[in-house]
Amino acid sequence: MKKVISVLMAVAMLAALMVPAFALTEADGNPASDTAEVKTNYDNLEATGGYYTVTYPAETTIAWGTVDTTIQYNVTTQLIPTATLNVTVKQDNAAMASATGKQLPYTLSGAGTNVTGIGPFVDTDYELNINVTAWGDVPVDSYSDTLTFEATIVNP
Amino acid sequence: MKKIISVLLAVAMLAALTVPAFAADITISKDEPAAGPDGAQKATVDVVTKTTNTEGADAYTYSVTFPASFEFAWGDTNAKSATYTVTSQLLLGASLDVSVAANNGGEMTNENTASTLTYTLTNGGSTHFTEVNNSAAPTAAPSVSIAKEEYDGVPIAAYTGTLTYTVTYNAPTP
Amino acid sequence: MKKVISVLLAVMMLAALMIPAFAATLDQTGGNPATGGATVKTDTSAVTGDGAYTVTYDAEISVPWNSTAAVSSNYTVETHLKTGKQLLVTATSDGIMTYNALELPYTLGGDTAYTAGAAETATKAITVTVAQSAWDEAPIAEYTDTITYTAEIV
Repeated sequence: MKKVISVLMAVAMLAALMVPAFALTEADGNPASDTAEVKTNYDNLEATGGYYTVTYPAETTIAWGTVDTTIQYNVTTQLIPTATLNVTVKQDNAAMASATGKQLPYTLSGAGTNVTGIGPFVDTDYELNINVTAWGDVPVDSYSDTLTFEATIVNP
Repeated sequence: MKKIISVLLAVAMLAALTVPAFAADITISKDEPAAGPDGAQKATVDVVTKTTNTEGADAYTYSVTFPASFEFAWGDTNAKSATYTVTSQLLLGASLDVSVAANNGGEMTNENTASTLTYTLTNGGSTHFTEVNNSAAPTAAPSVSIAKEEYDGVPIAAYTGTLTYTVTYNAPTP
Repeated sequence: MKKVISVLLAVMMLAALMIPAFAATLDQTGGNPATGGATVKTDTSAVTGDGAYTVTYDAEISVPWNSTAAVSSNYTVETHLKTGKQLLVTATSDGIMTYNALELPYTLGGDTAYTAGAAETATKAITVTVAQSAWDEAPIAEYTDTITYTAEIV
């Protein structure tokens, strides 16, 4: 009796470690068939919200005298269904500066400066506009500034 | 009168003494069969198994056990084993053929999107098993996997597809 | 009527779609939020020479007969030069108006030389003065001379 109980307990412990299983037997007809389910889950992405890429020009050059320049950046997302992406673009300073300290003011505008609620599966381009009018007020030289792109996953 | 009664009694007694004779019965009686060198009379009796059980039903059994589900964390491209085990005790000359198939070409769907994923089944072809097996598994184990490009091309969601396991019992040829 | 010396680069008023030389990316591995910088800079490769300037001046300076008052004539300098460059503007003449063989001397004064910076707009004035003694010795006629404006990037 003891031997029988030992064997039964070993079988029960093994069963607890195994994944749920189905079985086909001679009682199920001939031929017999049954289905198993193949599923994906995204539990591993709940904390971060998923994936995205914002692709933008690393450098934009503006030919001397150009008043309006339009640039594009691309956003692709693959987020969990409840997450969204926000993207902002801001100019670090009010003016581009030369090595001698001369200032060439410019303004950044456009729909792409502040985009909120980007959906979980998109591939979209956004536009920015750079406006420079004070060309005549400064010596001809190389002026530069930095645009800062910021992307935030909102994952409620 | 006494003689008739006696004869009748003798006949009745003989009838009472007579053992019912079945076709399978073997009788050892005086001088039949002949005694052997050791002076003993011997007769052999066949002990035979039947292929039906005590209820009279076919006695062969088999069981093919397989996983009920396979779950992939998003982005997981590692193959998961879809193997099965066969335990059987079949009639002599009988066999089993077990196969695994990907339903709808491996398509996985989610009710909230028209996008689909496709999983890949490997080694799903039919495997032949003979009469007696104790948790035997196919040599080329079936497996299921999802390629990276499948994950990349669809919204993140819970997609579901199905595998079908099929068992065919081949009765012995007469 | 003003003549315009112009060695000017045309200002483009059109919006231009710039194609970036290379791209940068942000993704979820950069933290949340993730940030990255892009450089915006001016390109002077299409600017020829040392830049552009305009000097605008009167085509004609009229002196009333017998007037000894200095007659003023403005000129305007507008510079769009490369950093470190200057524009030297000078006005010169031989100081003698003539009518056939007759001569009427005068004095050219005022801002006959001006140095403008790389990015500057300035209005200056030269003067033409005829002395009474010169008037007294000249038969009445229409005397003329030429004032030469010179602009040089230095």
